[in-house]
Amino acid sequence: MSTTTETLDIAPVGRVEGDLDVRVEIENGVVTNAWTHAEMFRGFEIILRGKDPQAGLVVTPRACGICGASHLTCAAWALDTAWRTEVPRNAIIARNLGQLVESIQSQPRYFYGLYAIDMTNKKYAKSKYYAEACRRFSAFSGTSYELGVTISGKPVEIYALLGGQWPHSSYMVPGGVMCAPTLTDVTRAWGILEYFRRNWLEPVWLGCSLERYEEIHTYDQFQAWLEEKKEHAESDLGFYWRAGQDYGLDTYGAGLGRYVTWGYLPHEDRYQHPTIDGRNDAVIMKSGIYDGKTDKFTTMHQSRVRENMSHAWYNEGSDDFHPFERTTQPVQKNAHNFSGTYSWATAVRDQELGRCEAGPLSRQLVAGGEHGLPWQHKDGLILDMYRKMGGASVHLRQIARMHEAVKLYREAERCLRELRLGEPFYIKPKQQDGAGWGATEAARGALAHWVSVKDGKIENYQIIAPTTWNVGPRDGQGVRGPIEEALVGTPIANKHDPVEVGHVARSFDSCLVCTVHAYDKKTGEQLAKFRTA
Amino acid sequence: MLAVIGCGNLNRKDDAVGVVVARRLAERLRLHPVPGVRAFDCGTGGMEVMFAARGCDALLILDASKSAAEPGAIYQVPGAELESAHEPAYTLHDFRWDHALMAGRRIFREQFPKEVQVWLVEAADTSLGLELTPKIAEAAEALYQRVLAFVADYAARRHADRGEAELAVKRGAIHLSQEVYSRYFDARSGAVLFARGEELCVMPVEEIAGGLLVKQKNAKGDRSIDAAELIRARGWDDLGEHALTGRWDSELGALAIAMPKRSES
Repeated sequence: MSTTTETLDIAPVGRVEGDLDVRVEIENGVVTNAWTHAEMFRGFEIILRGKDPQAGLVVTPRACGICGASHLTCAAWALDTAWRTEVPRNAIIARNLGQLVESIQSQPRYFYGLYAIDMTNKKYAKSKYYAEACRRFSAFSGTSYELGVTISGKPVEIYALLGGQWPHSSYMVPGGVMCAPTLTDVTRAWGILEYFRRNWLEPVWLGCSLERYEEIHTYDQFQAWLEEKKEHAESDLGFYWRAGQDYGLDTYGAGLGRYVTWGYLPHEDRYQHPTIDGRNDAVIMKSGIYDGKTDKFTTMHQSRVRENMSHAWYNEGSDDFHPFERTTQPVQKNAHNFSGTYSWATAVRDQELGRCEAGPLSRQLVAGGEHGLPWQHKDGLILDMYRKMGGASVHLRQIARMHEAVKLYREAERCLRELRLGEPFYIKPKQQDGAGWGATEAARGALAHWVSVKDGKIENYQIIAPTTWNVGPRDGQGVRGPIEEALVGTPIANKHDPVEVGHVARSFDSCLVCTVHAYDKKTGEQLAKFRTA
Repeated sequence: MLAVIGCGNLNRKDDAVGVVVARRLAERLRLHPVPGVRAFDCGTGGMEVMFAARGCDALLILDASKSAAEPGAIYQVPGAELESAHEPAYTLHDFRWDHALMAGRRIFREQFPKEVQVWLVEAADTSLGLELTPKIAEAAEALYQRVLAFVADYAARRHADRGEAELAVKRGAIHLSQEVYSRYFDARSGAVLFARGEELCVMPVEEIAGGLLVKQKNAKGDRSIDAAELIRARGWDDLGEHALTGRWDSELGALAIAMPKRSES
């Protein structure tokens, strides 16, 4: 039988050009090669050059309407390390809390608003789970969709208590935070968390108490939990687990098998004098790279990261550069040349180990490692599943994310318990020149900002976002990026509706830059009758 | 409740015009609150629009447009003209306010504003940069003045809807049902009391502005205000129980209650 290769260019439905587009080659109904391309240039690096060092606190959270708190966290810690500030424990807690509630918000919003809608695709009409998937997950009308999207607005009300508003607050500043929550604020925050737990997290997401869920540490215990009660199996987690396997989502989308996290949530008593090198030993959730092929864990350090622009639209040559060495020279006019340059994203790699995937799966695999300090968080469930299920898949990537909901919630509780309202939230810093680095884990993965300050101005500002790791094009050695690699081997049942590509792409919850948001769907002629000046 | 929401990207010159105006309004409202009006900067977070608007009866969205018209042109468009269905892409990034209008209406139903307007300013330049271009800065000023007029009109319309309220005065305390409280007080927990002729006037204020506490009495949310001192001083009945009718005086911004005299017996 002769084999023919077909090429499919997939842009998000209904749009001429999306933020993230995919090209795949298909042979005999299976993806054999793939290219992901980010269609928008970020430009913060250019906006920020020569500005006041604190401009990063205002400019970078606007990068994204979804993870503004994560950018703000990085921007603040980057300046703290550059200026060698002292950050009081209350401020560390208030920053962590802002980060946490943003990620908690993302749990239902991403799952129902982006990922689970594909479970209602007619491809799965023959599955015994299909009718129930439609009842729960259909956009707007699904029972869980409606509840989940609605409740996703709740956790960030805590952010508004701290930062004055959500999104886009700049309450984190070098030296601490510009807020002083009152007892009333803390009480309201407890109420909001409690509401989230009682109305969604326990009854809908888990079908059990947090305490019962927290007893699960291994794959076997997870399966025992699933079978223990009808409520467990029929919770959204339990239902997704069963339906996802029936749909075959555990059979593709593995990716390149190497996983990175910066670690996050600096401990309030261990990072009051923040430095770049002191961070690894100060974070509650440890940093690391897990290499699935060798089954080895390595502690991650910012000095290990490199960017390669061989296949991206920049005039920066084909060598690997550390972010501090980047010059950010975008090419003005560009075309898609899939054997040459084809994306605004750069190829990010670890200088020794190579390309890595970022995201909840990475965090949860690294959480299972024996590296790190005894007091740091350890949780082996997802690593156990990874080993016993034969590696990663679209399905496991999703389960890792769902699994995080409970621990994020518990950390938010801990923040509220640890605040000491009578103590300082801010210690005025002294500006100075220097190099700084701030990192965190956004809901969708490893985020870091690099800043160098010279003569009191920003000399260089660089950001590597989770999606830069994941969406990046081929690197200098031609190695595919994580999503590109995850697409290879994906079976395509209907090339006119390649839902499988959607599953893979959406399982990474890509978060691309927000560029121009001006309303452009109608012409001046169509709007003419509404013109008033 | 009216929500005024600015959308756009502050890092993209004129794209920021809606956000700039909304932030200016928010700052003004912080210093001079207008009951029932809130301003938000939703920036690039399209989905946040539907949460900010939830529970309001009116919504005004401010944004920039790129319609190939003359820069600085202002459009005032009914929301229904622009709302659209969201087709999920590979990210949540392309969820914009026009999707939020439709999604909010479908998910929140009667809790979503009936009156929706979108005011757009045609941008001149949306390249990277933190400042509005001069022409759009001028248009932003015009837009801000219009928004202030809209806010004033909205506040007046709300007052016009306020008819008479049934309430009670018992032994010197004014009792307000939860319905009356929410209609006239908008969650404000303070009241200033004063007399005009034979009327006792109750002006809702933010607690921070002083006045008496509007105390919550039960889980349902009924309230009471201890007014015994003023009632006694004016010779009104501070001992009996009276079911009374208050009228809303929109010039005073207060509930006016005709008070019964103390009987001499």
